[in-house]
Formats: sequence, C-alpha cells, structure tokens
Amino acid sequence: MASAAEARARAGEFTDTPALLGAALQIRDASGVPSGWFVPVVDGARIKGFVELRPDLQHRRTAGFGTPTCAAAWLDPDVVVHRARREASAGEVLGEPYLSFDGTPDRLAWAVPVGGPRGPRVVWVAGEAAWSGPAATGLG
Amino acid sequence: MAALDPKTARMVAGVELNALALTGVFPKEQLAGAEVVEEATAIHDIDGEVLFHRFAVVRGREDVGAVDVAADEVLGDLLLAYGDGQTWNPKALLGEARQRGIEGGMGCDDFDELRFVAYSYPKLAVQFLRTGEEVAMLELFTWVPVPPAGESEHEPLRPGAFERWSLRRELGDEDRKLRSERFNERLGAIRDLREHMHEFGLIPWRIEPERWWEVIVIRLVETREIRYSLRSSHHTSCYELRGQETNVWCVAASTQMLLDFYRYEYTQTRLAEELGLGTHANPNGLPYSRVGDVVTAIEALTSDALDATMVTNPTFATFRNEIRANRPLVSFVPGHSRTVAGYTQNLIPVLSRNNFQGLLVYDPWPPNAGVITRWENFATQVYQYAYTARVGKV
Repeated sequence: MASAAEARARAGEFTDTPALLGAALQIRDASGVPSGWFVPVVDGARIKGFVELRPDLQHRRTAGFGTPTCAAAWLDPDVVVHRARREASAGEVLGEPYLSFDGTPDRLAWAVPVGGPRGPRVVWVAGEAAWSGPAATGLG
Repeated sequence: MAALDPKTARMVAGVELNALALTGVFPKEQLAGAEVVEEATAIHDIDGEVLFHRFAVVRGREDVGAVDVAADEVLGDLLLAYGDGQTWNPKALLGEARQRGIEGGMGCDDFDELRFVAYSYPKLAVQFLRTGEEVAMLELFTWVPVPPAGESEHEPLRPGAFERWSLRRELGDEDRKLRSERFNERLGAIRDLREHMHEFGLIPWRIEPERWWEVIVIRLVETREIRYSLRSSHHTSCYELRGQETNVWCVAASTQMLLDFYRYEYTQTRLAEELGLGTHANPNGLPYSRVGDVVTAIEALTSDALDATMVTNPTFATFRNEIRANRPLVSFVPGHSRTVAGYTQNLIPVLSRNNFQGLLVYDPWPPNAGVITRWENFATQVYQYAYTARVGKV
C-alpha cells in the first residue's frame, strides 16, 4: 500500500500546480478498506480542487471546484464534525470522521459515525452540505 | 501522380523520426544528432508512379539508417519503415545493378534510364528502361532477373512468389478509401506542426528529440470541449457547471446543465418534478428502473426540439463523436450522474497501447458546488449510460 507521501508525489504528475498540493488523505469505504487517495489542491484558505488516485496510485481524475470553497470544510476533521452536528439529534455522540463516499466513489464525502438513542448511523458531510440516512440508492 | 513531393516527404520523415525517438521507440541517443538527407530516392510502383521515397539518415559521415515515406496515399500512412543501421547508397546500388546486368548479358547495356521499383511491395528491384520501355529488371541485392508479368491473372493481393504485382492496381476501392483518409489525416496533422516548428526554430529533418518535446506533445494530443460553434478558430468554451441542490439530485442537475447549453432554463425543482425526484424537502434519487425517463424529460421539456437518445455502455467514441459535433452528454456511472463536455486523447500512434483517453466531466457533486473534472481517466470508470441530445427542429 502506498504512503500518503507517495500519493502526493504521484498526484503532482496530474496537475499543472503541483506546488499547491496538500497532504494526501486516504479514502476508505464503509468497511474501512482503503479505496483511494484524495490529494487537495490548496490555495491559501481555499481548496481549488483535487487529484484522486486509486489505491495503486493510478490516476482516477483531476477536478476543480466550481465555486471557491473553504479548504477547512474539506480538510479539517473538526470542521467536518461541526457540520455533522447539525444532523445529529440530542443525545447522539459523534465519532471520528473519515473521508469516504456515499454509495458510490464519485460521491465523495466525509463519513461521521454517530451513536446514540437512534442506534449507530452515519452522517455525511461534503463541503458545506451535510445529510444522513441510508446509503443512496439509484442515481443521485 | 505522387501525393507527396520529396521535400514534404523529407519533412515528414524528420517529424516521424523525432516522434519515435522522443517516445522511446528507438533510444534517443541512437537517432539524436542525425539528419535525413536531402536526396530522396523515388521508389516506383510497377505501373510507373512513385510509390514512396527512401532517404538515408546520417550523422556526419556515419550511416545511421534509412527511412521510407509514402508518396502515394494508397499506402495508408506516411512513415512506412525505418531501417536502423541500414546503409542506403542509391548511386552505388545502381552502379552495381548496371554492372551485374551487363555481365549477365541481359540486354542491360542498352538503356537510357534506371529506376528503383517495388515490383512486389516491399520487395525492390532495379528497372532498366529504354525510351520508357522496360529492358530488364533485376531484384535488388540478389540481382536475379524478375520475370516479366505473366499472362495468368492472380487474385488481387495474392501474388505468387517472385511475381510482379501493383499495390496501386490491386487494392479494393473500400480499402483504398480508408487508407486515403488515414494518410491525409496524418499528413494534415503534420502540416499543422509547421507553424510550431517555425516558432521553436526547429529544422524538421534534423533529429533533435529533446527540442521537439513541446511541439509534438502539444500537437499530437487531441483535445476538444463544448464551445459556441464548430469553428475551431473561435474556440471559446461554452458550458457551465451546476451543483446538485440536494444530495440525490444528480440527474436533475445533469439534465439542467445539458438543457442550459441549449438555452432552456429550468430549475432543478422543476426538473425533479418532471423526473419524479421528489421535492427539495423530501428528495429521492432516480431508480435504475427509470433511466429511460431522462430521454422523455429532455424531449418533453423542449417540446421535442431536442431529440434525445440513451446509449447503453457508451464507448469513448460515443463521447468523442458527440463532442466533435459540439453536443454535450449526460453520463451515468454506477450510482451517479454527470455531464461530459470535452475529451482528450493521445494521438501518438506509437503510444497507442497506452493511449490516454480522458473526459472533461461537469460533475454536480458535491451538493451546491460541483466539480469540473479535467480529466477523468476513461480507463478507470464504468460508463453505464450516456444521453445524447441533438437539435431536431428549430
């Protein structure tokens, strides 16, 4: 399994601005298995986009956000938990977030495990958006 | 009549050899510093037309190789062969042919013209002519006389051993057309390079792979994206991203992007209603059982002005052909919908085994933002459905 440093170095081959690449984050599926790398392109406090690699560091895509986006919303677990809290009910406890995807790898989002009176579930956070519920079915 | 004159053929030879060296087909050091000589040797078809040109490739006084470039589009491509380490000295060969012909008493002492002929392409011979008529023909290097054309007709492209035949005469019309298109497409691409050669101060027949990197890599990659018109000279992008307004409205957002391009302005709420995706407060995704609804919605919302089609398991060519026609597509991948508004592909033939193909994807995810993916590696994604839309009536 490649390291975060290797993923970051590899991502440099797929962007015009390798100097803006931040630390690589591992993407994990619902069962915790690594499914790829998310390497952000960061300009100051903004995240401009990202390079996504498969676990073997094969290039999957290089993408840019359509609108300026706060980097912390995507990269800071504390901010992610803060957003997730909006979807949590009273008495629920939020666990450690991890970068994952809701249903399909194209729907990148942070998964925040939540425990409490409603039983274990996941709150999803993607930038400014947060939601909960079962994994998406069909096309969404 | 030859489609390619010797001067252009020399340029083509240089460009192709630089590309081969640059891409590592031949070690760069093997070709670097070499030069395609000015003197072209015309190799004729047995019908008398020039079939291809052969050039020696030298480095100073050292023979590096020989390169063949098609003169006739019937050959289907420009670069025919490169013989690494091959010595090509046409004067010496003609001298030897003359000598052998005289010694053999084959009437080779009475001629007024000698020329190289591909008597059975790619086998070569030297033809002795007097007032345009053949006196004798000796196979190159073996110097064995090539028998005259027999009276018995062989099947096209199935000549017997040591039998003369003409590629130009025997190729079928369909095959000839395809070869002609490929030849001219390649020639057009190389001609397009001339401006860049000038810009970078490159001399085409000199093999300097390192200096060619920028020119060849830029030009041998085809990239297109949706724009205002089909005119390449006015290539202004014309496509906008829409983020999906709920976490399950990717289809609504994708349809919105496509319709926006055609100047139909619908909100995602309205599109969700048409597609049965619920409301803002209580949204749902599009079930797989209703993937055909996208076609119905596009046509209904444009009063059938747009003719939509669903393509199952689309290939790269599906996307490329639509973009070339300046039409964006909706693309379904497992669990998600996006739109495609461009593509890129590597056109270096020697790299075709690892040919990179990428799509410019306008992805409505994440909600209320979306991303523009430039490029999505086509080899790493599963494309389930694509939706094309063309203007059917105005």
